[in-house]
Amino acid sequence: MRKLRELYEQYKEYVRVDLIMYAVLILLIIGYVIISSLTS
Amino acid sequence: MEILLEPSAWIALLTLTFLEIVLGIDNIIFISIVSNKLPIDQQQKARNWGLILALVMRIGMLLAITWIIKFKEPLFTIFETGFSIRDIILAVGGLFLLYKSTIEIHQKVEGEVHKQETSKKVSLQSVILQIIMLDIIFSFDSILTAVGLTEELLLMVIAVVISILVMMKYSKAISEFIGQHPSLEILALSFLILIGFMLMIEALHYHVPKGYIYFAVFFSLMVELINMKVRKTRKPVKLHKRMEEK
Repeated sequence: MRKLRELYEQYKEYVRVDLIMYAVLILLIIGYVIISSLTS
Repeated sequence: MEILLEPSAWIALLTLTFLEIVLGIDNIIFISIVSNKLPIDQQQKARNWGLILALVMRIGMLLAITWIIKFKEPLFTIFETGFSIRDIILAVGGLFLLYKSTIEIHQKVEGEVHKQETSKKVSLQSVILQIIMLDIIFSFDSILTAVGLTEELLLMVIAVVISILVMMKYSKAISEFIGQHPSLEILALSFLILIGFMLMIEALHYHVPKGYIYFAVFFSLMVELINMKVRKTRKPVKLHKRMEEK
């Protein structure tokens, strides 16, 4: 975890937008799974 | 496998492979800077292992994305149009491509160059891990480009495999070539804007024939190749890289 944090601190200027996109995608998938299981 | 016998499949494969290679140059530069922290005898090994493992992760991501966008049942309706998870992902992905490629073009033409310190000692395992993480993070636009250019998973996987193998073998030659002809890089980023826009239109259920994209790419490329011949005697413009070694 500490190594990942160090990696993030080192490269955050370059990876911020991509990481946000990944987070949005993961949240969308989780949201879809929750909504499908609630409606089925 | 019959898909490979169709001419349209070959055009899609060529277009996608070209874009993947040109857009992968920045990834290669990052990977080189990271692997240069190792002793010389370990650098090539780190790059090769990192890229092979990153290739496996990319194929995994392609499989995941193509699986997700198969779900076309509407989740909600806006103005009598139903939107599924596929439409949301295409819209968000298209928006991301538009934003990222615009930012990249701006950064290359007008942005600052960041210098990366390479003197810190690292282990082979940590460098390989960094290469995998960076490649996964930076390859999201490549994944979305593949999704935007073709619907055939086999073609996407073949293009990604070819581009990674080409980058492993010829990264130096390709970097030098792109350095001599930076307009190709700007052209590739411009195509991402086109593909991002197309993904957003697809999200609104307007189908855009892929042939329009392939024609635009090849036409622009032909014009640029002619320009390169005409401009042979002039010095190339030096585009900013996202990161350079100190």
